[in-house]
Amino acid sequence: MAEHSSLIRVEHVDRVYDDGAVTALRDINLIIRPNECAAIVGKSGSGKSSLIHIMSGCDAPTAGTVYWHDESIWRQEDWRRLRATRIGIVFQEFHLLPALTAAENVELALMGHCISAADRARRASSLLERVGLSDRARHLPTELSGGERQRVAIARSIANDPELILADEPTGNLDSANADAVVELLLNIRRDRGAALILVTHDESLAARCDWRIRLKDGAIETEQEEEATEKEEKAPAGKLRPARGTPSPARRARKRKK
Amino acid sequence: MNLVTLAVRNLQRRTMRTSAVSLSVGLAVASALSLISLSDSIENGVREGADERNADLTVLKRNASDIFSGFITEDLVGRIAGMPGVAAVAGDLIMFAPVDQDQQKLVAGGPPDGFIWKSMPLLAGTMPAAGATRYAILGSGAAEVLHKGVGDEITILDEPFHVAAIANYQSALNRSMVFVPLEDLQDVAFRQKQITMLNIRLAPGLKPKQIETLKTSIAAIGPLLVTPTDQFLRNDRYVAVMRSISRTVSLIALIMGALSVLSTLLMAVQERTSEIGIMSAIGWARARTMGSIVIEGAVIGAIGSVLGIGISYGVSYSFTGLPIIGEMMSFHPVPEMFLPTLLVSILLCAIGALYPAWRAATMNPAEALRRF
Repeated sequence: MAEHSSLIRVEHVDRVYDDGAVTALRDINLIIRPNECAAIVGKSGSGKSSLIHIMSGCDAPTAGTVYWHDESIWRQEDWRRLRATRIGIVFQEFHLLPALTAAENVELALMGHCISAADRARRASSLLERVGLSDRARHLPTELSGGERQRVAIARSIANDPELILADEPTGNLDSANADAVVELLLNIRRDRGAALILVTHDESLAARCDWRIRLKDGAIETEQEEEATEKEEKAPAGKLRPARGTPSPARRARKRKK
Repeated sequence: MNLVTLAVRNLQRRTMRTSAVSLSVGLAVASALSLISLSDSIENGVREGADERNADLTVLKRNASDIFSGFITEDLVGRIAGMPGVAAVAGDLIMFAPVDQDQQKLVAGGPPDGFIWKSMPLLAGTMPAAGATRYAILGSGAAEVLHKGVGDEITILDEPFHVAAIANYQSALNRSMVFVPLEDLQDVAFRQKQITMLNIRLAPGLKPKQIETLKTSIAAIGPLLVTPTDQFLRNDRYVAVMRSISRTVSLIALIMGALSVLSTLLMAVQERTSEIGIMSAIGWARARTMGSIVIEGAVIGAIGSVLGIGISYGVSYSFTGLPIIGEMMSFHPVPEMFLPTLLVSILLCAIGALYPAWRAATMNPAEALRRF
């Protein structure tokens, strides 16, 4: 793989709902390279989750193309395969199956991969240990705190050693202590496993811990900022503008010229 | 964990939901099974009644539209009794008649010295001595409906009869009947020397070929129809109409039961759209996702059908306790129906789960998750 090749590339992506009445995303252009850590920030309704859904194939763009390793992906089955093997997703609402224990929820991501039941159980157990929940393996989601549930969801998302982890407001339903712990966990996992991480958040201090941040406004990329500090250092949310990371569309270039 | 254990755990850990859905399926299965059994009860009732009366062959007037309208002469009794292979013959005059003025009951006039009366089980009272007249033996159900006991008086066709005993038959047909001496009924109904049917008990050890020969010989006497007793209503026009109605009811019951099972599963799976969305979001293949849901549906179908069979059994036994109706009819689901019921229920539940599972599995995961 060439050093500068993209892991995932979004080109001219639009997403509209209700027959065009609602525009969630407008002409989004974005490149994420392997092992990068990016934060998508913006106010509620700015299109952050819509973008994550499209980047994970959980939703299809109304227009535009998404490339995985420079290959366009549009079939649902191809996206499913990617989510099963290369892309891990963490949701704000955790999205654990309520009737399954923590270990079984993690195991769920390993089913259908030609792994024996014993190996699946062993692997689920080691993943839960990695997220600090080995003593909660046999608990149902309702018996876990919000932070614990999110850690189970993180363990599930990394079960298949993904190249890309998409975290959609993973701290949105957590208190600040749990939020810090979950972000720390995600950053550590990303560093240890060498996966790329895209973190959707409206919390600027969390976003500042990523390599760069993409700011969305009204469904369009407003700015892209590269952070100066490493992920281990706490720093102010501000950063310098990162050039040429996204590929502004002609319309966007025209808007910029007007300004 | 595999797909089957996943389905079982999903059901086990949602006790209330699993119970409610299984019960809904069970009630649908029970309704269909009970109505089908009820529709079969006419023929089964006749068969049970015939078994209790120990007759092997029944002779009726050929081409009569129903058993009450085809009269044959009583003289045939002696003629048939002399045929080889015949152990005993009893002529019956059977008709619906007003009992105690306004209650239409099935009244059977039979010879008190005939083999049917001799083997009649009595619950109360005693069989009057030979030559006694104008007495009645009430089936236990008829006695209950008429509120009459031994020693009471009743009227049949406006003529007084003395209740001598209560018969303890088990079949609904015999329990609901009123038995009187043949001559008395012929007298009050102005049907002297007339009977509606002949009951024949065959000599033991008779071979099928000999029975066929006997049937041919009897049929040769005149326009007579000779049938095994448990089938003697097969040619009855009214019974044929009732059978058609009951078959239609069965079909409707089956369709309603199937629709009920389908809609129950449809709703049960539809409310899990978001869970199916989670499976899609973590990369489960469509077939695998649908497989796990369909297996759950099939397990619910199996539980529901077992519940349904149990419920229909309970209903059938409590049905006989119902006043008036229970004395006239009875039904019991037959064991031969259990396996088809189980298989049909499993199949319907699997189909019921398949459509919403397919719909949810083909949906964009983002859309499915929005239903969380």
